Amino acid sequence: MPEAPLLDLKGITRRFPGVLANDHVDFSITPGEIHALLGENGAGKSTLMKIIAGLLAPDEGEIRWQGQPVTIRSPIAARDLGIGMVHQHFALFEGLSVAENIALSLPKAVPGAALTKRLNAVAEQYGLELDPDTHVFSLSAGEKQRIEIVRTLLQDPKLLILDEPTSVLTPGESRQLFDTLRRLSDSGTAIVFISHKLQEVRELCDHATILRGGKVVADCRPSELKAEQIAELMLGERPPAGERIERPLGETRLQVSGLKLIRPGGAKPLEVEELALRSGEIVGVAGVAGNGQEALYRALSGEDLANRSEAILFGDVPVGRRGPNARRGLGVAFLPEERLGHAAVPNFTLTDNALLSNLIDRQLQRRGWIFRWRLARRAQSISDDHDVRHSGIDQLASGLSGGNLQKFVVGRELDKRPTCLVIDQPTWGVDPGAANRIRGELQRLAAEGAAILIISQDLDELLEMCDRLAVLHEGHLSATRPVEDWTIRSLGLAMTGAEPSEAQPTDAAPLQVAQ
Amino acid sequence: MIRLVPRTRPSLWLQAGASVAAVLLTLLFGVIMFALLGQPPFEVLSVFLTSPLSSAFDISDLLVKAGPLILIALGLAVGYRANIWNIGAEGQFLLGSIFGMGAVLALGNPSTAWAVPVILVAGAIGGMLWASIPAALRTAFNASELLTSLMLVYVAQQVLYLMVNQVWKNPLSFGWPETVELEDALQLPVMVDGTDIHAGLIVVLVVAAVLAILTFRTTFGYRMRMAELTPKALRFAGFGENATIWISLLLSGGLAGLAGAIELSSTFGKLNDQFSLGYGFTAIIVAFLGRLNPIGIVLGGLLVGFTFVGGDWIRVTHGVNDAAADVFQASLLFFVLACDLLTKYRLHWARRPTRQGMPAE
Repeated sequence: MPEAPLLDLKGITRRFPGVLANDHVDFSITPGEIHALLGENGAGKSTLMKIIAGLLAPDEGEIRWQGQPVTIRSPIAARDLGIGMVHQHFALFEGLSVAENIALSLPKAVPGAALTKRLNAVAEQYGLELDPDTHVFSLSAGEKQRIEIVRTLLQDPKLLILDEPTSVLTPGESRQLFDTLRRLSDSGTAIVFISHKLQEVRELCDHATILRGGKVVADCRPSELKAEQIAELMLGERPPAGERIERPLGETRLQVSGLKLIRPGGAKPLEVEELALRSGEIVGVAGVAGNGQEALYRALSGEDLANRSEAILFGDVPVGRRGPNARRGLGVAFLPEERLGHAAVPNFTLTDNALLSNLIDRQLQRRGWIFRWRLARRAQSISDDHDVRHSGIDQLASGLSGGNLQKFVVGRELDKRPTCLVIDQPTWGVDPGAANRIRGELQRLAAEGAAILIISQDLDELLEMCDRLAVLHEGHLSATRPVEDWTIRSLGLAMTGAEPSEAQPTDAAPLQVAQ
Repeated sequence: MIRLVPRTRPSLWLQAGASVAAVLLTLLFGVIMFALLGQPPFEVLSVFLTSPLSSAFDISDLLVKAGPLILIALGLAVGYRANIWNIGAEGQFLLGSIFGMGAVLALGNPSTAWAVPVILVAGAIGGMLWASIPAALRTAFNASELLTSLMLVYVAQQVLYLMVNQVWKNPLSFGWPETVELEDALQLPVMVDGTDIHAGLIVVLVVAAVLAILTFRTTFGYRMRMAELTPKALRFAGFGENATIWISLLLSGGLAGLAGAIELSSTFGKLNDQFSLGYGFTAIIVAFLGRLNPIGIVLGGLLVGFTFVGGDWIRVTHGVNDAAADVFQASLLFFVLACDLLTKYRLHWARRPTRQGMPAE
């Protein structure tokens, strides 16, 4: 049954200095349709969605809403039309409670009790649990995203735009979200679904529009294509296949035992009874956002000190009570999840950022005196060796796209040839091309004999890369098991707090490994 | 609809152009304002612009006024880069002068030149102690240093009045609220005969050069350039979180105190109730005029010193009233800062309001 489109875009063009972000893009969606928007970072997806959501004005082109030409002047105008958007980056007031944040996004004031009721109703209907009185600053990224989704759903949108909604959800939660989206679609809500996870798109979406370099390169039915074909359309070439490399295991490089760390915001403390990594080994830590990933990273990196020095051994040196640079001095490297503001200083140039984790490197600095030209050369070689695309090493870190900055900060750590690497979310929010490259580099580092601990919320990534996996739930790290012993189902159960032993691999679906 | 879009990289040409544009806009503003006030605008402007450099005396006046501004601004800029907002340099300046005077009196006002460094060091210590109060309050209780440092200015002024009216009051001052004068040997030597240019200005230049090197060439400066807004990145780099707060407040307080001691042993030669001239506040403007860069601050301090002297002249020669002269001085700073904004952002004429300027991908 061909339906009149709910939203119809014709020839949308938007320029930014030096970039044609959208080049005569046509896009149309009918009521009840779930429509994927695919493309690498920088392909123009976000620009197109911002135009629909009233955040940006197109330079050229026509927008029709239910057949009528419209100009969407502001997010409020978009909301009044019935367009709701869940952004990838959260727009929340950290100091306010969940309920207050939601109340602020509603067009009219709603009394507290009525709001809580509506909130609970929506939360239950869509399986998005939230405590209305919690302050946002104490929530994890995953929980913050739940607020964003719930508050958009509260406005009963006709068109719902979701920008990478599943990047911080467990498989179970994603499944719940998909059920929700299907129910919304059945009731006539059109949904635009932006994702990097091609399996999800194939499973969920009726249609897909694929953007590359600001242009539409394909309109297709994703269920009829293989993931590889879609990836090829997105990237314009076949992504390099991740090779399994045989790696001999060597001596123990990292040993954690009886580690305890208080977490802020009343969360359960981080507890690690036993974790050991050997040379040549990649061990993964799975878990839903907010279950202690950052605390684990900070404890291992020395940004927070452990309860006792012997809780963490690098080689055979107890470092639990020593700071980051003392640990780096032992040949260990760290990379946190947050690119801007943690792994890199936003208003520093790439050159200055090359020094951030290298302050003990006597090639770059001696007795506090920085060798600027050597530092510039280092920044240049990191960029050259790791395919960082920028307009010069004097560009500010905040001016780089997520994928390019991630390649830079990963490259900065890899170029130290660490004997042990702790990395949190190596490819979060990074385009598939850059993600593949980073994964390949990590595997090569392990093949050269480093021990690597990957903390990630991307299960496909962990299953592809790791030899052994542990699960972090409510601050508690489970024992590791070889990756073959885990299934998507048993992992999902462990991540939601069920005992891993309850999930027998016998009745579980076969292991799905992306790519 | 006009909106500001950040530039990813500032250009040197633009920065130079912005300074020229600022001067031209100030002149235009001055022509209009003086004409409206019934003054011959071009004549007043020419006095304002030429007299500060017209004689050795005027140049020395300019330099002597710019000196403390530059010294204080150099310290403040270190903190401002790191988002530590010490706006109480005036108080630290006064404590510097009080500690300097304390050193003079403790040594018995000797007529020996070796005591001069002691006075300067005492001044720096006084400023540091005063600045350590906001630092301690910030690190222990997370109290905003912006508020505490400002409030301590008013406390410092009262301490000064207490000292000059009572504790250290010179019994031979005919009731004036002031201390005894420093012995000639305790005053900073004059560098150029017939002017007031004193050795303190060399201290200023040395401090500027040292800070320029520290800021861009050392790991110390690297830490101080990391904004306090990125505490996670500070920890990642292995720096303690509170150290930036302490360093920037102690450094800015110490330099403000040093400036106070220099003023004591040069321009003033004694402590009196007129000591609080607002250098500590004007230095905030100087710090931003110089774009928080040590070399820029030296130039910015000279520019502000220039407007002080030019302002004095048009008051004298054309009877321009104080308020109008101050407005004109301020307009120069206003235009410099406004044009500076345009070097960091570009104007975008949008057909309709939009919230975001750059693609987020």
